Amino acid sequence: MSEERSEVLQGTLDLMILKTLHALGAQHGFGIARRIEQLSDDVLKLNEGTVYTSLLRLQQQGWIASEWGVSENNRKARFYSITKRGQKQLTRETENWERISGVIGRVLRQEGR
Amino acid sequence: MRVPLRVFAAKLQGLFGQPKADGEFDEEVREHLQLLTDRFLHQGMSYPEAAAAARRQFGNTTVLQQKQREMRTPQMLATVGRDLRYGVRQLRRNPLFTLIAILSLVLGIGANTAIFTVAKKVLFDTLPVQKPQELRMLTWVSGHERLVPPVWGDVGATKDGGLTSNAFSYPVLEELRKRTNVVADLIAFKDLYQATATVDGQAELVNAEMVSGNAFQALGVKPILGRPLMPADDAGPGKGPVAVISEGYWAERFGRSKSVLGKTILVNGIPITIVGVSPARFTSLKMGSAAQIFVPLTMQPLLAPRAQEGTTSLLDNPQSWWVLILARLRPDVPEAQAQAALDVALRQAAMATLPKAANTSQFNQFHLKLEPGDRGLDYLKGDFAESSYVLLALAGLVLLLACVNLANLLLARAASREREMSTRMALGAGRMRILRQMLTESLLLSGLGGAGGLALGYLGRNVIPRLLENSWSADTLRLDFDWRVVAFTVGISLATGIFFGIAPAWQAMRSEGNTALKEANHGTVAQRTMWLGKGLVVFQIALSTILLIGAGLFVRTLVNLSHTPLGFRADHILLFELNPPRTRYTDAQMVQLYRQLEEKIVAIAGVRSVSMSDIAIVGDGYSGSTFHVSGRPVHKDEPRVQLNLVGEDFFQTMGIAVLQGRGFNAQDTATSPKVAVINRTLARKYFPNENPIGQTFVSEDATGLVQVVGITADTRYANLRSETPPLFYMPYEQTMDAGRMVVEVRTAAGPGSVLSQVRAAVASLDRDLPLIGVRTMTEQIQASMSGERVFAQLTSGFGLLALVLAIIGIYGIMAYTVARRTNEIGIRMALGARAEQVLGMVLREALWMAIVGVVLGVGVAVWLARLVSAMLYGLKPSDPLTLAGAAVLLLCIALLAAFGPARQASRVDPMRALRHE
Repeated sequence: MSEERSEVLQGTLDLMILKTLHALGAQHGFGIARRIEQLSDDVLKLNEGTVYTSLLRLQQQGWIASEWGVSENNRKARFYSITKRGQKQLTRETENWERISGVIGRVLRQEGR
Repeated sequence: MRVPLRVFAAKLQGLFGQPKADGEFDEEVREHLQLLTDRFLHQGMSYPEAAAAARRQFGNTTVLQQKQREMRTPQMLATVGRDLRYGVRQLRRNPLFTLIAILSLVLGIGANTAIFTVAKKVLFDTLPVQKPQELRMLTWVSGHERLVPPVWGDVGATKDGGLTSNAFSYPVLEELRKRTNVVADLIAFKDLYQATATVDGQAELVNAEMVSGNAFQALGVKPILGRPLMPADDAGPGKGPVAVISEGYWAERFGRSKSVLGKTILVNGIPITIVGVSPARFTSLKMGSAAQIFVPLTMQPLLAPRAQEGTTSLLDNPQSWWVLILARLRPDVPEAQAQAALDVALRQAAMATLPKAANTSQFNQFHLKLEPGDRGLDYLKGDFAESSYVLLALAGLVLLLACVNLANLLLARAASREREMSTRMALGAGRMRILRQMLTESLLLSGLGGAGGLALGYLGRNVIPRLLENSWSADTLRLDFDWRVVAFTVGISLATGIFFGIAPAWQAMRSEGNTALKEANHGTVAQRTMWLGKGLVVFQIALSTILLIGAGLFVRTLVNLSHTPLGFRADHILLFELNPPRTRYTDAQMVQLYRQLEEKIVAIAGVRSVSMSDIAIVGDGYSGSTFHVSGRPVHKDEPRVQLNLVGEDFFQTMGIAVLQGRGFNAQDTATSPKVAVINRTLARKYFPNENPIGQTFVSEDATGLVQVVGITADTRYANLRSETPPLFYMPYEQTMDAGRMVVEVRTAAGPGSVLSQVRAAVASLDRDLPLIGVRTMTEQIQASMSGERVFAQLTSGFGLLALVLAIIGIYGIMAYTVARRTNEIGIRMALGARAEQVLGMVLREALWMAIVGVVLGVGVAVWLARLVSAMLYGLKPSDPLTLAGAAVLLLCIALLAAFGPARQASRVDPMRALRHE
């Protein structure tokens, strides 16, 4: 495994899943994992099982909902979709993330004495 | 943010359907792995390689599954379950401790539950009707001058010396009904007390209640069978010979048969058709009472004719005030406005119909007043409120005592578990975790105790009413064991669990991790625990002292009452009542019936003498009259005296001594000059310096002058407590209004021996005349003390319980002290202390605790006893005998309880104690 791959922060994964569902509509767990893999250009190291932990947490918080359906290759699969509450949460979290990452970026960029 | 709440709800939901969720998750994981494997296969891996790579990329499925499971349900519950399991194990390890703890809680909580069930009825329950809080009882108030003629009902005194009553005349009711635009409904009723109901030729006594035709509908009481009484049934005198019967009567007498509808029964000899059955919870408009039959109010002239001024109907008689009225307020009319409007109507009607009203200055004080009506006609509160509060307080003390006892036991146990706690803390258990564990254990105890207490309370719910009732009267207090009782019990169980769990839990939490693990602190450690424990024992002894003194006071009251000189001989007297129906007997016929009956009964072998009276003295009520000595100036509002209408041989039969003059004899008839015998109290009060014999007086109960012919000794009269009131006797033949009479039969052998012949004698005169309330004089006197007896029994029970708990407490703390001090005692003995000295040391310690507790308890008890001084008889609240008795008893008990541990201490082997180190 490449040394450059980074651990995914727990809260970050939640946010990424939320955003993925927002962007792509209803997805099953495998699809979500693929999408994150694809977008992160293999930089993020992800135990795909942890996606399901995030999914359960998001579901309990009411941000997403799930439903059994049939996958593209005709197999039974559980599809997750973002709820209205989830959309609002996503907006809030995105703003929050941008603010914090901006701050952290500024802190890291500061010049030494 | 409601997110945490939503998560919690989701987790709670997760508690159900765990297996299903597990299965679904498995499926999801399998599917995911399959897709990953497929992908790797596409990239050209062999199947085993692809499967392994997929598993690697996915991560550990078992760990994931476990994590999901934990996330799906609230973790708190899981730990609670663990705490509970651990608690149960702890309790089972110590079965004796557990048994004592739970048993004392069961008794404490059970007693509270049973007493709360009664107190709830007496103090808090409302009529089981729709919106009872809208109901108001109509009453009138007046100045001290009596404007309203004699009342069939109660007249009381107001605070400022006026009169008040809730009895109205029927014509007034009709006037008030014209004003119903200010109230939603006027519901009129009157209880008939006992009526004779004949069903299929079998006569029995029932409680009947007359209600106005709108009552059922206005109260929102829907019959469970048939129809309610309706306004049409109540349209005029005798128009509605129909009845609604109670659910209890339906079940008991008619076996819940639907064919009861349309059945005709005789009530006081009048045919009445049953049209409906009322629901079980609605039994009466009189609080705590149970009527079997409801009939329309306008049936009064037939069912309960009352002779007054040539008519037996009260419906058109403005001079008779008797009917009770409940008003249902309208939500849109303020109460004051309703009262004012009804007041105007009442005053107009009174002005028109009461001759006295028109020409008195006091008429402006005559007003209508709305009183709370949510409890209907309520004698319960007045009669039993004080007793209820006292019993609630005593039961509360018992529970407190049980709690303190348990706190002490738990505290001792917590101290002996110090090592365990320290170990757990050393292994990383948080303080909150330990606190929670201890509280879980105490709540477990209190939960078990509460469950047992609830069961005990349920079984005992009828004990108090049963102790209060007597064998010959039908009216019993109905109690409802409903959700409020359960809520009360659950509440006190939780409260006790927390209350007695807090101290030991706090103690356990404070234990210092490292000190307690070291073994070397037997002598000095836990001084704090000791002090707390001893404080609790002192508190316990104080509580026991209070309860014992309470028991002593009430037992002595009962003893004093039963030794009160009666002034007559109560043994060998058979009592029963006759109530010849007015529908069949005129006054003259009634007198004749009584005369013939006296002759028949006295002829029975074994009967010494027989008599009758209006009132069977002691425990049979009383009846007032006026007494104005001829030739003396007339005062306003002369005090009333008591009157008893009696038969010729009354004094001889009851064994009342005639002190001066003569008793009644065969010459005193309806036509002879009116005569009276007075009691000594009346003689002293009205004729202090002259000879009463030969004097004459007038009374509202006799026409013309009455001459005093004799003076009798004083007897107890209405009850055992009251001083003898001024009283005069008259022959029943010489007064206008004979009615119900009590027959007294003095027998040679036991009073029961002649009963069958007496029954035959009554039946030979009138086959349909039932003997009501057959009892002996002794039984009647005993029954008049039933309240005091219940109190003595309950408080003795509480006292006994308190003693047992105190013994457990003292024994427990002393045994614990001795165990903790084994080292110290060993050193003392090694240094030369003798066994007696050690024994004395331990006993002294126990005695000191007992003395402090007793002194505290006596102080508080004397202070509290003032509150119940009105309930005591023949002794002061600070009765020295009771106080000293309780104190000595408790000191002895304390020494006795401490003796075992003390002996154990005196037998400590110094060598072993020291080696034990």
